Amino acid sequence: MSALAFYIAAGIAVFAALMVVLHKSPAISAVYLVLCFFAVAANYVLLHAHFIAAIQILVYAGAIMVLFIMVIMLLNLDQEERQRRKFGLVTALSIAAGLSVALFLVLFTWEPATQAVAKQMDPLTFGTTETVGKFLFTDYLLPFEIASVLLLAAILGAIVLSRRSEPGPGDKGGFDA
Amino acid sequence: MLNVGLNHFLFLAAALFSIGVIGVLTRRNALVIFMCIELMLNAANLAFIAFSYYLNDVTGQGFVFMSMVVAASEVAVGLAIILSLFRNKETVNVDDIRIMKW
Repeated sequence: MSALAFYIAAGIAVFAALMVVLHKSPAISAVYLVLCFFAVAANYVLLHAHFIAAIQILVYAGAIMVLFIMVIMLLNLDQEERQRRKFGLVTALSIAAGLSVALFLVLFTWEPATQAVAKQMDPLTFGTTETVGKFLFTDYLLPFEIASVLLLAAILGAIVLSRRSEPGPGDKGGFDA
Repeated sequence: MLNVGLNHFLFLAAALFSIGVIGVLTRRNALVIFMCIELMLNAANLAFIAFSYYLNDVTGQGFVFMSMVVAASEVAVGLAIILSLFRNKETVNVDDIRIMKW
């Protein structure tokens, strides 16, 4: 039962990821990326990471993708991409094929991965908001606070970078390039 | 209890990561390259969560939380950079953006 759920979610995730890469229009790519994030969230639920699955949908599929789609619409980018490429398709595909063969070989030969069985854990508490929250607010309190400072820095950076400067004579706004 | 192994999830993560690498290397649109980077981050997160489950340790989930914070700030700043780049150069094709190249 859970194997079937895994294969369905994994198939959707891989299909959506391929469509992100292959589709010509960035807007359609963004929508397929949302589908991929939902499929990965389904995998998180299978792995008893309920809190992370909720965060995945809220932050990734919600906030981040809204940002992406807003920018795509703001830039009016829906034209075809030019086919001039720095890496040829063959080079890129061989790099990616080499990488995936290396990853898969490691996975096939690595003992703990081939023989791992889930340890006994309490399915009622593992991965709930309470467990992750306790973890974040006790052992990892300092990284948690640093994360909030990082988010503040990112907000300020985004405002500074995307703000138009006051229109003056000969000033096009934005940064000099 | 889950009747697929740790390997299955790691294979899925490796596949998603490789697809992300293909996208970063072949696409020339800065926004799509950015989306592929998000895909690669997600693959790494999936591996974290899988290990967290199979080692029965919630630390992996805490790490994924941190990685999502970093991804969110990266997207906010990166999209702002792309936006101001588009204002100045009228393009998001990475081949046309070569002001840092000597």
